[in-house]
Amino acid sequence: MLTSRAWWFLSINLLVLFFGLTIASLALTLVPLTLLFWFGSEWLLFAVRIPLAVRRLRLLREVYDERGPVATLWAGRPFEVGLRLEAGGRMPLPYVALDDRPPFDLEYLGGPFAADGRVGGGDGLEIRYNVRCRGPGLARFDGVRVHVADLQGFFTHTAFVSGVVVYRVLPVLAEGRDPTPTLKRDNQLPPPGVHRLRRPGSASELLDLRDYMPGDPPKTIAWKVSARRDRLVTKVFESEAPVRCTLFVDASNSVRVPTVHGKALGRLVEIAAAVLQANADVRDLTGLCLFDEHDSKTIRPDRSPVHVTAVLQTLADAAALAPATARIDPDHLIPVAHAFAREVYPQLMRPAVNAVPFWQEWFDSFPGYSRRKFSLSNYLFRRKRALWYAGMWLTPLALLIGDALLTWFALRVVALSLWQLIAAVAVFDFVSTAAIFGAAVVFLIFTDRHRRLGRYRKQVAALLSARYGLAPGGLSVLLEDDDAFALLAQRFLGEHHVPYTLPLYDRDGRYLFAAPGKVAVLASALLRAVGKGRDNELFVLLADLLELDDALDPLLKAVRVAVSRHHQVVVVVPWPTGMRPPSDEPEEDDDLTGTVHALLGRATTRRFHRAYHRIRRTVTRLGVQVVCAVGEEPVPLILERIQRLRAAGRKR
Amino acid sequence: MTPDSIPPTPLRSQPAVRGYIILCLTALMAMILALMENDRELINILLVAGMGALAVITYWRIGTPLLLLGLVLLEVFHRLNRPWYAGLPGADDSPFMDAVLCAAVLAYAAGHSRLLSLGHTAFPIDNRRPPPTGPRDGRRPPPDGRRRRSAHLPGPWEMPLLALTAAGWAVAVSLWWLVLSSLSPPPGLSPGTWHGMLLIFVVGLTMAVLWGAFAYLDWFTATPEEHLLFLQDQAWRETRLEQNRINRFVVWARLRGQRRKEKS
Repeated sequence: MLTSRAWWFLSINLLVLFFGLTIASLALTLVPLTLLFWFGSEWLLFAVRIPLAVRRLRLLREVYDERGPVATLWAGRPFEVGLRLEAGGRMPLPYVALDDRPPFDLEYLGGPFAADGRVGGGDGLEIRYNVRCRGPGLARFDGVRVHVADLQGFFTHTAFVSGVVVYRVLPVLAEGRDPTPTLKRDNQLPPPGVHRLRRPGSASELLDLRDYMPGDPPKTIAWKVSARRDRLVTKVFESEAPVRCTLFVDASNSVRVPTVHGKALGRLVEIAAAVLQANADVRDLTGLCLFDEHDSKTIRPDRSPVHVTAVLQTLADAAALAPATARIDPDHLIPVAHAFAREVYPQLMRPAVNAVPFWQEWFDSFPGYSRRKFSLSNYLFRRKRALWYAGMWLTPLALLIGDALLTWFALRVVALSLWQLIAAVAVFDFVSTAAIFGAAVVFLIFTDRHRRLGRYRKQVAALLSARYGLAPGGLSVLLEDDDAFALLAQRFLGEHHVPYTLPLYDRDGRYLFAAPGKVAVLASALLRAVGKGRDNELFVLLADLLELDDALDPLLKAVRVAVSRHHQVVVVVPWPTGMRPPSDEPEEDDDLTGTVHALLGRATTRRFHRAYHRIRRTVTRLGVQVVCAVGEEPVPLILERIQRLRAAGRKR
Repeated sequence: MTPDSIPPTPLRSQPAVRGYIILCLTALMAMILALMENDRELINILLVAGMGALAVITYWRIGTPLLLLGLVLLEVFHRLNRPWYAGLPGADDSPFMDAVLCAAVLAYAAGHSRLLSLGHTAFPIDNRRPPPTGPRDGRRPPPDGRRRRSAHLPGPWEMPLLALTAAGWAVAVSLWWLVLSSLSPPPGLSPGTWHGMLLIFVVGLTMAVLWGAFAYLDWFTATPEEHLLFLQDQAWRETRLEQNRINRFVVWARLRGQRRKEKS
């Protein structure tokens, strides 16, 4: 691409050359010729470098912590990102400037994102900067944007060097989060094959001594020690049977919707990860069931380090999911998807391979019936081909009829002379044509956005079709089917972790991400877990059930089955960050003072509180505790439940 | 690293910037010498050269076009003030000095452009984006694409190589024009028209050949995804009416089914 500096240079030189040839001045011919030939040689060299050098650039990227390169990241910890851009061929590039494109969900700590210099012949560009992962999920580095120029700044070319690296960001490690103190300090490893649990139980190994409490079996009284201390002391034995706990984590659309404080799914994943690690510390078995409105995925309870890693990775993958729904207008997504595709896939968006024909913009139209939004300009734009045809055929006809009527009126009624008649017809034709032309210009002005979106949609649809294996017929499908296009565009943006805004409600006021179908999936998964479970398991339902109380019947039945089999169930409901947590009893707030914003905030809070209390009232009847995921409350509660379960097992 | 991240050193004290300023001023001196040898008015020459020097010192972006226009005005002024008995204009100009003039102007133009890359921006500015406000820490490029070439990047051989290139191109073009001038024009054509036609033919032919070669090179180095997109586009163009009709019907049927299901 020629820069404005090059255009000025070229234009002035051509002018001077023309002038020199015209006046036959040798100096004024040779000077611009020399400059033009040199300019042409630089242009040629630059044009050769684009396919032979720019397309062969290589990107090497690694992420380091204080000990060296890492393959997995941890939420909340700082890391250093290092990358190096190298030439893949022999041809060097004299001047390259690169900008890194770090993932959206990383927090920048320090260091430059950009560098410039020469690439090739052993030279390369390096960048190092520090980031911190905000929350669990995936960190995807797509590559770097490269600007190539010559030394004079006459020519420039922008490309994107792809080097996709995806790192899992695991949930933060829960250090020192052990609510039950270990009574026995034993630093000896158990022999192979023997798994001792440093928790009170009914095994033969003595764990500790404690004061006798009413209800303790008399056979556990340590008589000699009691005699020495002059009070009853009970022996506490180690536990031989671990407690099994299964975490049901909601990954449906309702918890994927991002807010300014993060996603509810991230909070659920953090709670699940903390429980998993606490259980792994005491060698209890933990399973995971990840469900959404369509399907569920189960990992059987286990306690091995490999299992813990697998569960953490699954949770990290789940935390990276983005919301997706087919029932939205694609026009919301097209500008974001097009801008991102142009930045990251410029080679696939160039006109040589992904063209927008002029007839597609001016004559072709998208179907009107699959659109849910009606507006006059939208309606006219969808029918622009018909309008063109009508204008082409009807305008001359209308002019002819108008001229005939005017002639008849002039001759019969007004009795104009011939010249007056010609002048009147000419004025009539001119005014009519100007009016039609003006209407066309107004139409073009008002439909500019539609034309632009049409261009963008064609290019994005072609890219999506090729990327997701729908070619060659996928392009036409995506141009006609709004739902398919919207789903694929959301998938494309979600895979690249591009934040995009979605309307939360449809035209009828219905919440698009309620996902009521997940209740049946969760109930089915819970019944399956109960069927395969042992005695006294704990099922933790980390699910967004607010405002779904009218669809909870299948889940309540499944919970009843679990409780009847002597299992315990805890429900953890995600709670919006920043919103006041609910109290134990429903409270009435009839304060109608304040700004509209404050009133809306209070109304939302009240709506959430009411929904929480409805859920709590419904579920507590079954003997199941409901807690909302605010602060550090849920994790100790779940661990305390596990302890109670262990004690219940010992008594029986 | 961009110079914005190294703010303490002033731009003009960077060796590379100083070197290019000296190169441009030297080229202007050579231009003055060549024009003086070709009997141009000294005052006018100094005016043109002074304008060029001012553009170099103040990083004026329009320096090279201004210098070329100054040369045009100089030539026009020289011809207007030439006595009628002095023979054909330019006949007593030295070809060697013309070549020196070409080399000097080329060195000035290239040096000034490189100086602008170091002192102003190496990439075009995107006027749709807001300009940078306030001091920057250099970790991100400015949003409007304004970006200087780092002053530490030019190597020790960059300026001598530019001077040699300028001299080489000046000699080559002078010789080429000498060969072109030796071809006698066909009857009825003036030498200027004939030379212009030859120039256009040679340049046009070269550009056509290069255009084809680059188009082939572009497809030769394209990725499989680009080929797939191209073929998909071609298939869509050929069959879009039939495909659109089928897909519209399918979507219409699906939506109708959905509406009926929602109603029921």
